[in-house]
Amino acid sequence: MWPADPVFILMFSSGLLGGFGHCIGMCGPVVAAYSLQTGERRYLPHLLYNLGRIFTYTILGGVMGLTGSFAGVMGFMEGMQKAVMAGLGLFMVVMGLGASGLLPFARRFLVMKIEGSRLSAVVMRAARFLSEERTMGAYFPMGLVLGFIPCGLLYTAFIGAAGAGAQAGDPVQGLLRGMLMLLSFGLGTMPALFILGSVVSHVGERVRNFFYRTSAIVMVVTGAVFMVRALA
Amino acid sequence: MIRGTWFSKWQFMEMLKLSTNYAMNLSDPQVKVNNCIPVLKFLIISCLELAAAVIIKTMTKTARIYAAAIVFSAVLLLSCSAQQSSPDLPDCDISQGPCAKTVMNRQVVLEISPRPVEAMKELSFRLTAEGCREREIFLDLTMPGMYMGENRVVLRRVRGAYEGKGIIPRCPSGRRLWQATIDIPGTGKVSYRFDVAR
Repeated sequence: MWPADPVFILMFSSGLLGGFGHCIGMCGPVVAAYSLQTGERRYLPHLLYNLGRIFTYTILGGVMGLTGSFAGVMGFMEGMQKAVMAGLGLFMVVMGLGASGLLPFARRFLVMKIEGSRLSAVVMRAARFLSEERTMGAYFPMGLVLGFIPCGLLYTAFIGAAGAGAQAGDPVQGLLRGMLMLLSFGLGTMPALFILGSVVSHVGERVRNFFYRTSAIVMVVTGAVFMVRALA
Repeated sequence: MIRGTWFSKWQFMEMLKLSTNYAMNLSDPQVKVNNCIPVLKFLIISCLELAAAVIIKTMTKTARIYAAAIVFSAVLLLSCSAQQSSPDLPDCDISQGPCAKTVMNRQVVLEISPRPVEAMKELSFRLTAEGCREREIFLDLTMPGMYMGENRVVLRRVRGAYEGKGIIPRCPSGRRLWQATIDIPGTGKVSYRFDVAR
């Protein structure tokens, strides 16, 4: 059945095309944001992040195939997607502030505003997690969570999986078909985001500082836009 | 022009401007700043400056800055092709009622219900094509100026018309312009561009 079935090849090529034409434009700042903190490790974080993302796609594809209903599943998931988008927006704003060198100021501001409350410890811990180099184990879960980001290209793949599930007749067949379709799609999107992340990680330390002080503004604005859209 | 900090400041300001254009395009689909040409100009200038810095062999730090500028503009150039504003405008108001077009002197009418046509909801597509005798035809849904994957609706012949179910995905960027293209054997391709309500 896989990978010879034309529908899986179509899903893979759709992911490949969309990766370079769509994902870099829409998700480039997200990838750039997490790539800032990869340190000397240049490939493994990107591999783990992408595997996490593809794992989420595969599970969601299975759910679409099992139920055969895109609209039904999306109605259930909408709240979760908004929460992920708002969280991602916050992540990007903090990362942008960190890259611009304003994070110490942001940290002081946060502490000043909520000093003495138990919340300040949580916020500080979150800010530290976002601004400092992470352990390797953080990238796979991060990919799992960011796999829920709302994305039109991904919705189209889900519609295909739900349609295939509805036609399969047997729920198990639908589940497997949906999973394999989204796995193929996710693998197709991987090269573009992997290359982008690796290139950003490869940029030398001094150059990276200069480069990201400028592009930090993109991250802050994009993160704010994500938060506004999620809360709208 | 190459030596000193003046060019770096200019470069910094230019990168700031291009980044702002990128963010504006991303944040509001109604605001379209064509970023490709300015990014391309910036990329060419940065390449020339880098070449000059390498020939002179005295400005390692400056050369690195130019190299960073090249990477920066290359990434923006890739993304600006995805963000490229499309001159396409809706040519029918599908939420108001059926849209009719004439191809090779044959009338082709597309209707989508329920109205208003909304994204993320199951929609019924109905096509009436004069002179078409096929058992099924295909309707492809695309977004002008942004690749959104392959979204094909199968329309089957029912009582002289073609009917099928499909879903238009929502683009989180806020874009709402979609295009339905139908390739009718013996007649040719016909496209309808329309806005979804939300």
